[in-house]
Amino acid sequence: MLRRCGRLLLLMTACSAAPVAGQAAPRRLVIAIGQTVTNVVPTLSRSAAAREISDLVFLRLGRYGGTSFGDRAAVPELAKGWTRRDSVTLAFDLDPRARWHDGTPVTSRDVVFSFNRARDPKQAVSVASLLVDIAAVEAEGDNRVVIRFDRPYGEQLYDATYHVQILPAHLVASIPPDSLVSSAFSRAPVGSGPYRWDKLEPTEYLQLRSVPGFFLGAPAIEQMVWRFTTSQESRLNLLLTGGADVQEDIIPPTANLSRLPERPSLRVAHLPSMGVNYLLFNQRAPADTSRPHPILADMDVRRALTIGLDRATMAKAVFGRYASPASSPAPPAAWFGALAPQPVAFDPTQAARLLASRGWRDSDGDGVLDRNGIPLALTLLVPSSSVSRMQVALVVQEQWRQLGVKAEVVPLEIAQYLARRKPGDFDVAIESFTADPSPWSLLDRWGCGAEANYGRYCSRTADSLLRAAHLARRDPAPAIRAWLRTVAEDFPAAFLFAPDKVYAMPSGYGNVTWQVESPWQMVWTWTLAGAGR
Amino acid sequence: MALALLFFLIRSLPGDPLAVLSEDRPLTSEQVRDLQRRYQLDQPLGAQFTAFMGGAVRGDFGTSIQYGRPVRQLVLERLPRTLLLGATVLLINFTLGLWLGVQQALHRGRPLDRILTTLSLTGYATPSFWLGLMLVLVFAVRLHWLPAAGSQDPGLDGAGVLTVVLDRLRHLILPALTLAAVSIASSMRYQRAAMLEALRQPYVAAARARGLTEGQVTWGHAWRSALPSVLTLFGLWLPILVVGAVFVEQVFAWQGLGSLTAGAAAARDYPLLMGTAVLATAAVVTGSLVSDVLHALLDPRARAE
Repeated sequence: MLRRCGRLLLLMTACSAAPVAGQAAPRRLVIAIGQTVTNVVPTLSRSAAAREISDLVFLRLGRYGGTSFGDRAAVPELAKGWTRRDSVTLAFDLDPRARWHDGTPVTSRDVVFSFNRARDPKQAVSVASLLVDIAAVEAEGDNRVVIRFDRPYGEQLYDATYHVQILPAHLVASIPPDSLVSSAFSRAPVGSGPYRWDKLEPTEYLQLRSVPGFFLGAPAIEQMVWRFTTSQESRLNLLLTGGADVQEDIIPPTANLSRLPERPSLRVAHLPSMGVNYLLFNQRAPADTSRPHPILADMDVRRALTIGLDRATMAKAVFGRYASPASSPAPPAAWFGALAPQPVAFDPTQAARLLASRGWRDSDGDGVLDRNGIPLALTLLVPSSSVSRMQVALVVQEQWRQLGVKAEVVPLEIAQYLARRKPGDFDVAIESFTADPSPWSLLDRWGCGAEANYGRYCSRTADSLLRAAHLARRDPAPAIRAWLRTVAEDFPAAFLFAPDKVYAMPSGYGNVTWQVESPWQMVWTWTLAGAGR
Repeated sequence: MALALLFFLIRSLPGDPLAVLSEDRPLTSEQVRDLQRRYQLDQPLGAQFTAFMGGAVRGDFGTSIQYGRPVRQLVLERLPRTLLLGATVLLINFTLGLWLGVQQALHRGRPLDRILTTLSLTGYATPSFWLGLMLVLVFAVRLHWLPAAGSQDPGLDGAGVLTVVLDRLRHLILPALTLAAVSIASSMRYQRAAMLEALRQPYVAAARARGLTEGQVTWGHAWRSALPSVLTLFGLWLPILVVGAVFVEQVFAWQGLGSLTAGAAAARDYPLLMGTAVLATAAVVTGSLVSDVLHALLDPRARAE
């Protein structure tokens, strides 16, 4: 009986593993990801993974060029070039070779249509607010688009290229916006990028196929497949058994790396991410946000809590060597990350001295500092779904304990975490934030009264510096540098580290290029140097 | 009544679905108000409930906040995988499980009974996610006999029906075995107890006295009368297998209704959560109904009542 079962298993393995008769096995890259993607239409895609896939199907006028300022903020994609007509006008010349995947040429009508849709807050909830400085988008003939801005500022080209992917007007314009999500176009979108939509097996995988005649150069990898696997353990198992070629975010835990030799063809690739992890200090009292926080409103206390943390050891424990120290909200991978000040050094002695100078002493000998009968005790909110943040919480708790600070770790499921964070019902929250390539986007979290400024940090000086940088028409670096220094010296948060994006992937690909803000965007330029399938 | 209770319990959970939605990119107050209008979250709870019931009657559970797609579509996408896994496990439990239960009763107190009891209770006491991980480690990672995760392989485009069917079966084996191993003990224990009771009845002794073979006595007389009480288990198992296999779905990346429900609960996706809750309620009612009907079919006394 057992032997018969074994034979059946082997037969099933053989049948399924064998390539389909008469067909050469395609050269494809299977990527195991933790999210489920159901839609890659730009205005409808909701997750980071969906946007990354969308970047291979739908092009922009230009691809992000490594800075958000000036007229070199983009490199040509659908537009073969652009000219500045005056301080508020840019003219884009479309590449006449650009085609939709159904063969129709990409025209200025498509661009005007896409911008109008993206600027409508009812149709593109998350993008419209980023395009408020665009006054008009007009077509001049079939191949030229003119974009006019409300005022002169340094990030015009960035705004005109980064936020809007171009949709085919001839296919989408007739679909009422409310029906787009359930339309045939949404189920099989037609783009102009290096890969075209092939197949979505709902909840299982999404498959793109290369466009051989792609006007910027034919991709070497013929199929890109994303397998949806929410559990990290399952993703690793898929990778080790050949069910996937690439695993995103293979750490934490770092122990995963030790299993990679089980499939010898794998190697580790890492690139700096646009994310920063930090402990957000609430500067208002949790019970009554009209009053300052009884402990954390004091900048010296925030400083002491920051320099009392051995962040280098913490990063190593959680991410191994795949994280860099952070000193400000600017991720080191962003172009403005280089303008950030040096991280403050770990100095527990100085931290203890600072706390003592502010009147915090252990008067009752219980190991917890106190002042006027109030113990130096803080709640540390952490989303329980994040393995890395849970690990960080425990290390912070221990390191603060050695300073005489009592931290109560409160793990909460994500919805509860967000529900308490929004009204400011916390002392310290362990946050992780992924920035856009523009420093202006940081105002959302660190500007006075901004929607996502949950710690209620407010510095008019800092805000005016960032505004000055945004409006700068020449070199914004001095204003950004001053802004980053001001924020870092105010200690609205203990900026911990910027984790890398770490991939396990097969070796053998050539010309491997990653885009930090959308890692797979340049996969069409990779070459097959003996790898693939 | 059950739906009303579910609706208000779910709405009383702390958390805001729009906060989860805006985590990626902060929304302005105007955008939040617009989304609240779109998902009727700006309405009083009573009005929301009335709207929900109005839609539910037509089979329309609204649009998922998390996915931005109709709930019915999302549920229908996952349902086939859930039913495939659930039906396989039920089949194992109600064939192999019942057969083993009968063998235990026939060998009561003997080594076979003791071994099967030990094995089944060990399975029952084993956490499903741990067992799943171990099976993956052995059969997928070490031996490479079976796939580690998912319910199908990509890249079978143009493959024949046989290849596709075998591929699905390969993916089904480990999750089904895991779920069956941790649940088969119930049907075995129930069947054993019911069979022991039946074997003590005078009509069994009478059957033996009439010279029937042991097989005819066991399966034709004792088992038939022992079966109806075991079938009540079916009513209990059906809803659990429809939405309750969350851990196994996680371990094997088997994208069924369990993981959909868990995700909806985490994101406070009220419409989706209500959609899956309604399905679970329907499974409870269906399970009870099916077991009652089977009971009536198999037991003449129940028909008489």
